[in-house]
Amino acid sequence: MKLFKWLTGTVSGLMLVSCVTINIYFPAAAAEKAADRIIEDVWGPETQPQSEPEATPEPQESSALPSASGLALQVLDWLVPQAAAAQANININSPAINALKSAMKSRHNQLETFYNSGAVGLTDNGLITVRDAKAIGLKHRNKVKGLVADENKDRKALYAEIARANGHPEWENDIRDTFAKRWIKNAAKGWWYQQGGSWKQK
Amino acid sequence: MARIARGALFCILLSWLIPAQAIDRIQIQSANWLFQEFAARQFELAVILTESGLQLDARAQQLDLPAPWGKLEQVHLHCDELRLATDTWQCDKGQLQFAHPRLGPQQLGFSGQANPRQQDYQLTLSGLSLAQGQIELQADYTAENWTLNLQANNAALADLNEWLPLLLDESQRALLAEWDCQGNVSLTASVSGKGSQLGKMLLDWQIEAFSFSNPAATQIAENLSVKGRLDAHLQQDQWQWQASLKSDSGQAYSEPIFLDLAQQPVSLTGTGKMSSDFAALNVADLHFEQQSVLSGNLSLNWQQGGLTALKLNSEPADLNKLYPIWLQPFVLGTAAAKMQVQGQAAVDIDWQHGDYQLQLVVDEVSLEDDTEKFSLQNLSGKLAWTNTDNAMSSKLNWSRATFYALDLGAAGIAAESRNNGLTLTESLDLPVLDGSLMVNAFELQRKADGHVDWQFDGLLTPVSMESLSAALEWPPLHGKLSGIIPRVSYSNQQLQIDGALQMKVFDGTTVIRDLRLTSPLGRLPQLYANIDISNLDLGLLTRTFDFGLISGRLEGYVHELRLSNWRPVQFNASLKTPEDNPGKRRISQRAVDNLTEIGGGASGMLSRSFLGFFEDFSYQKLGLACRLQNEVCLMSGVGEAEQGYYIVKGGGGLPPWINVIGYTRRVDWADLVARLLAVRDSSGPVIE
Repeated sequence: MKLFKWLTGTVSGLMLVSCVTINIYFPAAAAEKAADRIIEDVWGPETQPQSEPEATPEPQESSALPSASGLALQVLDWLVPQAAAAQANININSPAINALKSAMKSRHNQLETFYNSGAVGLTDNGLITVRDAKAIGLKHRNKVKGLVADENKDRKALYAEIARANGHPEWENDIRDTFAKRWIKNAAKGWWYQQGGSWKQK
Repeated sequence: MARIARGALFCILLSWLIPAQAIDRIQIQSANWLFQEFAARQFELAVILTESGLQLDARAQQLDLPAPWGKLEQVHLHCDELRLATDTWQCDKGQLQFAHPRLGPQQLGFSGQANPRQQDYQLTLSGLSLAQGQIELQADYTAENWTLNLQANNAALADLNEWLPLLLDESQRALLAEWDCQGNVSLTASVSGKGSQLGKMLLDWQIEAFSFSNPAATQIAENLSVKGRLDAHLQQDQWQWQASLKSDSGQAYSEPIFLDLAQQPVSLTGTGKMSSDFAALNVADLHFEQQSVLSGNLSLNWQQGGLTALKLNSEPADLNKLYPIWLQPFVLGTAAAKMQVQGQAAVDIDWQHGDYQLQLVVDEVSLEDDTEKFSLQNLSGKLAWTNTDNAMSSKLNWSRATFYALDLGAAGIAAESRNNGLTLTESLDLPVLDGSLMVNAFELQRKADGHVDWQFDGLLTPVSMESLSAALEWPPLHGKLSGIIPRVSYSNQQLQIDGALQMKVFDGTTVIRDLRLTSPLGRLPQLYANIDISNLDLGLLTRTFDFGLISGRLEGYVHELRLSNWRPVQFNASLKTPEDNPGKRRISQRAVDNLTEIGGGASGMLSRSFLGFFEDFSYQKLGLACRLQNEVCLMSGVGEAEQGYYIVKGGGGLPPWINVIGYTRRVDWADLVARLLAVRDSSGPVIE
C-alpha cells in the first residue's frame, strides 16, 4: 500500500511537472529586420524599409504534454534564459538563402514593370500573383505567369529555409507572415497589394 | 378610324377595277390609316396609269409595324411599273426609302411578285444598310416551302449588338454583354424551310479584324481573321451538319494556351448531328490542325450541357514545337517547366462518363532540364494510363538518363496501369554509374488530390567510388558503394530510402542510414541522413587527400546531417581515433601544420621551429568534432585543454610528443571550408 501511494504520488508529481506550460517566443522583431534586409537586397534600395515602432514579440503558446521533440525544445528553452530567447537573432546568411536571394533579385528586374503597371500584385500570404491580366499583352501572358510561379517557388523555399536554418522548421508560417507584412510595407508607391481579400494600391 | 381605313381600301380596289380609259390617276390621302397591325400617319397613295402599266407611289410620314420592327418614318415606296398578269402582281424595279431608329435612313431597291391566290410570293431587296454593312436579300415563299438568300457585307459586330434581342434570350444576352467584341462580319446565307419550320441552311461567313475579350481577360483574341462554313439540314428531327473553320491571322489566348495564328494557322473540319432543340450535340468526326504543330481527329457527345463522351487521337507531333504551346503552360512552376524537348509523340484519349484511357506513344524523345537537374535520352515506346479496372500495358525504353550528377544508363520498363496506378510487371535493372539499382515491385499511385506516390524494393549492386567521386567532383576515392534497400518510397514530395547504403572506403566501413530527400527536383532539395564511420585507415585517407601522412585508424559519425541544395548546412559530427585498438599512431610534420592551419593557427609554424628536424611524431589520440548549425561550427576535440581542446594529444610512442590545441570553439563554417580547401589545394610541404 505504501508502495502504491508512493508510486501514485510520484507519477502525479511527474505529471504535474510535465504539465507546466512554457512559452516559446518567435523572435518577431528580429524576423522583421531579417525580412527587411532580404527585401532591400531583392528589390533594391529604392524601396526603403519604413521605420515604425518596435513590434512586440508575439507569444506562441506551447501547450502541456508535449511530444518528445517538443520536450527537448522546451528543456533547451528552459536552459536558455527567457530574455535571450526573446531577443534571438534570425540568421539569413547561408549559401542556400543567398542563392535564392540573388535569383529573386535578378528576376525582380523583369517583374518590376509588372508591379508598376499593376499586372502583378503582392498577396497577403507573402507571395505574388497576376492581378490584372489585361495589363499584359497576349504574347507575354505565359512568360509573366512563369515568372510569378518561379518567384513564388523561391519565396516558399526561402521561408522554409530561413526557419530550418535557424533550427526551427516550425517557424515557417511565422516567417512567411512576417515577410507578407514586410513585402507590402516596403512596396513602392503605385504597387498593388492584397488586404483582407481586396486589392489596394500603395 | 376603322371606317376611314375600310373606305380608303375600298377606293383603291375600286380604282383598279374601273376601266382605264376613264381615269388615269387615283390619289388617296389619309391622316391616319389602319390596317390589321399596321398603322400609317399622313398616308398618301397615288396610282398612275402609264403606257406599260401602273405606276405606284406611296408615302407615309410614319408607319407603325408590329414588333420587332417598330416605327418607320418618312416612308416612300415607289414602283415605276406595276403589272398584273394572270393573278400575279409584279414590280421589276421599285425603290423604298424610310428612316428607322435602329437602322437609320435607308434607301433600297426592290423587285418582287405576288400571287395571293396561289400563295406565291417573291421579293428581292438590295442596298439595305445594317451595322455599317450592306445587305442583299432574296426571299421566295410558296404554300409548300420558302427560301431566303441573304448576303451581308462587312457589318460591324459592335453595331449588331442592338439586334441581339431578336436572336438571344435575356440570360444569353447578359452573358454576352460582358464580352467585348469587335470585328467585321460578312455572311452569305441560304436558308429554306416550310411554314414556321427551318429545314436547311448553308452559311458561309467570315470575320475580319475580330477581337474579343471576356471580363477576366482569360479568353482573348486580337485581330483574328476567321472563315467558316456550316451546311446543315433537318432529317428526322435532327440536324445533320457539316462545318469548317479556318483562321490564319491574329493572336488568341485561351488560358493558358497562346496561339499565334499568323505563324501557325488553325483549321477545323467536321461532321455531326444536333437535336432540333439544340440539347444534344454529336461531333462524329472532327479533324483539327494547327499547321506544323499538331493535327488529329476528335469525336464527342454533348448532352444536356455536359460532355458524355470524347475520343481524341493526334498524329505524331514534333515535341519541340508542341511543348512550348500545349504542354509548358500547364506545368509552370514545376520541375517540368523549363526543358528542351525533342522527338515525336502521339496521344490517344478515350473518355466516357468520367472513365478514361490515355495512351501516349513516344518516339526518340529527349528531355533536358534547363537547370541540369535531370535528362532523358531516346525515350521510345508506349505509356498507357487509365482510371478504370481494365489494365493497359506500357513499354518504354531509353538510352540514357541523368539525375543531377548521376549518370543512369540505358534501361526499359514494362508496366501495367489500372485504377489511376501503374505497376512494373518486370523488375528494372537501372544502371547507376558503373553499378546498378535493381528496382522490384515498383508501384505508383495517383491520389485523389492529384499528388503521386510511388515505392519499390531495391538493391544497389556495387558502384565504384572512383566513378562516384568523379561524378560528384570529389577527390578521387577508392572503394565501393552498395546497399540493400528494403524500400524506397516517394510521398508528399519526400523520397525516403529505408535500409542502408554501405560505402567501403579507406579500408573501413561507412554506413549511411535514414536517407531522406525532400522536393528532389524542387528549388531547394533537402537531403537528410545519419552516417556512421568505422575503422577508416588514416594512412590511406591522408594520402588520398594529400594532407600529410597520419597513421592510425579513425571512427565516428555525422548525425542529423542536412544538405540544403546539396551543401551541408547542419550536422553533428565527430571523428576520432578509436579508444581501443591503438595500433601504430604517428603524425607527420606536414599533417600537424595542416591541422594547425585548419584550427586557425599560422602555417609552417612547426617546420620553422626546432621540431622541424623530426619527420613525424607519435600521438596518443586525435580527433575533431563539429556541430554545425546556422553557419557556425561548434568545435571540440579529443579532450579539454586549458582554455581549449586537444585536436592531437601527443604520447604513446617515443618523444618528442606534440599537442595540437584548438582555442576557437565557434568557427564560421564558410571559413572552415575555405581553410580545408586551402589545405587540399596547397602545393605540399615546406622544406627548408
